[in-house]
Amino acid sequence: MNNSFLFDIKVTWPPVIDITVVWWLFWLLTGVTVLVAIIFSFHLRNYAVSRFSILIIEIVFYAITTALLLACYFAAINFGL
Amino acid sequence: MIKLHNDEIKQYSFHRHPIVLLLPIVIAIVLFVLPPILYTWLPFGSPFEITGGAAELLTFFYLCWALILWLAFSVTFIDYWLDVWIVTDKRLLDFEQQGLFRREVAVTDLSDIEDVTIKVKGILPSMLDFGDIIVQTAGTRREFMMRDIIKPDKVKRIINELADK
Repeated sequence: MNNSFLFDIKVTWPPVIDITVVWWLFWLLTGVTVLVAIIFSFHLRNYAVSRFSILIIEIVFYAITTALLLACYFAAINFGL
Repeated sequence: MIKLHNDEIKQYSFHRHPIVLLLPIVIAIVLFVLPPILYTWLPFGSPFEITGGAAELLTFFYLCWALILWLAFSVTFIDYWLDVWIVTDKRLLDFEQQGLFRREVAVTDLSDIEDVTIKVKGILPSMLDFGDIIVQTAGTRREFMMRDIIKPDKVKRIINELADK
């Protein structure tokens, strides 16, 4: 069984995890992360807590999130090499 | 940011005790270290056919897992951090965040406060001095519940003093 759909993704058994699947997962996760980040910032800017604490929380959140996303990106590149 | 009335002065604001984040932190740490432990101890084979380096693919999945855990913890932290109670010289403001898309804001005049009760239940709250404060009011919303507040005795005293003025 070998059907092709949605660009170059192939459905086979046993399932094949190749670089296309990895990139799909990566961009899906990036989309979810950006969505959560927007909601995160939106909430923090509309609330009753101090601006300084908001700034610290945002810096920590964006730093760790960006680091993890970049690590995922380079891991995907490594897998594709 | 919340806007107070022109002649209103913020006296005190408080969050829940940070200890309530302990359980989510422990769960996140366990879920973070679990995949490498399972991978090391359980000799199961992969059900997938992997093209390319298996180690690189596992690293990718593990980092994705770490990112998902981090996002989940961030949402939990928002829920904790945005639960705020503010006491001004005129009003008591209660902001409660429930998940990402539900927020409750309740306000009562200090003159409407009828009774303030504190509840400290359990070993941990007794040792760390935190508990619930229940404020009975004569307003539309009869009861204000502040959960896991640090030093509830002190907060009760402050509310009573301001309400008596």
